[in-house]
Amino acid sequence: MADDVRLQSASASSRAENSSKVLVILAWTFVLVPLAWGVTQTLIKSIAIFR
Amino acid sequence: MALLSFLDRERIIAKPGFNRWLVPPAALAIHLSIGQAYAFSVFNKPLTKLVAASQLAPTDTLRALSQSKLVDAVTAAPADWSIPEVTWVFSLAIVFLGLSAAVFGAWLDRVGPRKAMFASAMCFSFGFFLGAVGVHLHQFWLLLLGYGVLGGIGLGLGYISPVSTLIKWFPDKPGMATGLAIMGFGGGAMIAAPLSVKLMQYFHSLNGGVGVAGTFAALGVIYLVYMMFGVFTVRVPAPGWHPVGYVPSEHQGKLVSSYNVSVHDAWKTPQFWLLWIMLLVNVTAGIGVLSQASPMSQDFFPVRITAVIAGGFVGLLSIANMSGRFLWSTFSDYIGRKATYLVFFTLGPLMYILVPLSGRIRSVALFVFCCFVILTMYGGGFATIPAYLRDLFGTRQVGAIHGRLLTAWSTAGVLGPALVSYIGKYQTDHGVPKAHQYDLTLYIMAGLLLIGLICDLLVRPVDARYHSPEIPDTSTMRVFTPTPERSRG
Repeated sequence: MADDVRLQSASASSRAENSSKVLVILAWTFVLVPLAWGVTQTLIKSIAIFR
Repeated sequence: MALLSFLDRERIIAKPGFNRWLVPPAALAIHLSIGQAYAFSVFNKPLTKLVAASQLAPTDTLRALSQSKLVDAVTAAPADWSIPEVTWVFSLAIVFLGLSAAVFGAWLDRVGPRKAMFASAMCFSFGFFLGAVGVHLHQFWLLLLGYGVLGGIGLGLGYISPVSTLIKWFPDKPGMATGLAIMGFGGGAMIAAPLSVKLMQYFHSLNGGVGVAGTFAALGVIYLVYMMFGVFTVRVPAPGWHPVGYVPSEHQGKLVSSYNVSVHDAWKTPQFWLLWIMLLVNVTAGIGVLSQASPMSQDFFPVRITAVIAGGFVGLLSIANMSGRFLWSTFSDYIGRKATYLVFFTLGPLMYILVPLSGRIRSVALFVFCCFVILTMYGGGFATIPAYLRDLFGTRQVGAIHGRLLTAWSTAGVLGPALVSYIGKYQTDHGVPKAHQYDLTLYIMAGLLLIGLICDLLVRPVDARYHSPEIPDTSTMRVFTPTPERSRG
C-alpha cells in the first residue's frame, strides 16, 4: 500500500517535471524566435562589410 | 482594486516545483519590447514628412511606391517637424527612463515585479497609442507626452522590474541571469527596426501617407500582448528559497555582502557613487563610438565602405552590444564583478587608441574588431552593474538602488552626444582633415575609461554602519541552511 502511494507520488512528480520542461521550452521559443529573426535581418545587412 | 489583485506580490510566490528557468523568458519579453527605444531613429525621417505626404493625392501610382521611396521623394512642407525636433522624442524618453527608474525603484521592490511589469506594459503601449494620435493630428506635444513621457516611464519601470527578481532566483549566477534580461534591451532594436519598416510599408500601402500613425498603434498592441506574457509568467521565490545544493563560491571574495543595505543608505556610500561614475564613463565612451560609427567608417575607408555598408556595420555593432550584455555578465560570475570592470577599463582604452590607427593603416578588419569589442563592453557594463550592486548592497533593495544608479545613464545620454558634437565642431573649426577628426574624441573617451579604472580600483566592501542588521541576506550567506521548500536548479 505504502509502495503504491510512493509510486503514484513519484509518477505525479515526474509528470509535473515534464510539463514544466515543456513550458520552459515554449517560453524560451516565444522569446528567442523573434530575437533570432531580428538578428538574422541585421546579419544579412551587415554581411557586406566582410566582402 | 480587487480586480487587479492578481498583480500582488503574494499572488506570484512560486509554488514548490516551479522551474526557475521560466523567469528569464518573462524578463526577456519585457526587455525585448522596451528595447524598441533604440530603433526609434527609423521614424525620424518619416516623421519629418507627415504633412507633405498627407497633401499628396492618394493615387494608385503613389501607393505602389514603397514607403521609403515616398519619404525620400517628397520635400518637407513648412508645417512639418524638423529632425532636431523629432530627436527630442527619443531624448525625452531616455530622460524619463532614468527618472522613473530612480523614483519608482523603491515602490517596485515593495509591490513586486508583476505589478511593475504591468504598469510598464501599460505606460509603454499607451505611450504608443497617444503617440499615434499625436502623429495623426500632427500635434507634437502629444507625441512628446505619449512616447517621450509615458513611454519613457514604461521604459524605466520595465528596465528595472525583472532585475532584482532574477537575482533572487539565481543567487548562484546573478550575472548570467541579469545579463539574459538586459541582453533583451540590446536585442529589442534588432526586432523593432525591420518590424517597424515592414509595418510602415503596410500602412502606407493601405492608407497612403508615411504610415507612422498606424505603425505606432500596431506596435502598441503587439508590445502590450508580448509584455503580458512576461507579466503572467513572472514569479518570485518563496522566502528562504534557494537552488538545490547552492553554496556561495569562494571566489566571490570579500566584496560580496552577506547583509543588505537600504536604498536610503546606499546613496550615502562612496561605493554607490564610484559605480555611478563607472557606469557614466562606460556609457559615455560607448556613445562616443556608437554615435559616430556610420560616418567614421565611411571617412576612414572612403572607397571600401559606402553608406549602405555603414548601415550594416551599425547593425553589427547592435549584435556586439547585445551579445556583450550576456557574455560579459556571465563571465563576471566566474572572475568577479570588480575584475570584469578592470578588463573593461584596461582593454577599453587600448581598443579606443587602436581605432584611429586602424584608419591610418587602412585595416577594415582591425577597425571592425576594435569597434565590436568596444560595443560588447558597452553592453557588458550595463548588464554587469546589477550584479555588482547586489554584491555590495545585498538583494533586498537592489532594484531600487539599480533604479537610482540609472540616472548615470540619463546623464551620459545627454553628456555623451553633446561631448561628441562639441569635440567634432572644435576639430572642424581648426581645419583638422576629415579622417582625423575622430582621433581626439576617441582619445578623450579612452581617458574617461581610465577614470573608471581608478573608481573600480577604489571599490571596497560597504562599511558595516550602513548594513541593515535585522535582515541578513540569505541568498549570499555562507552558512547553508536547508529549508523544506526548494525548486529545481
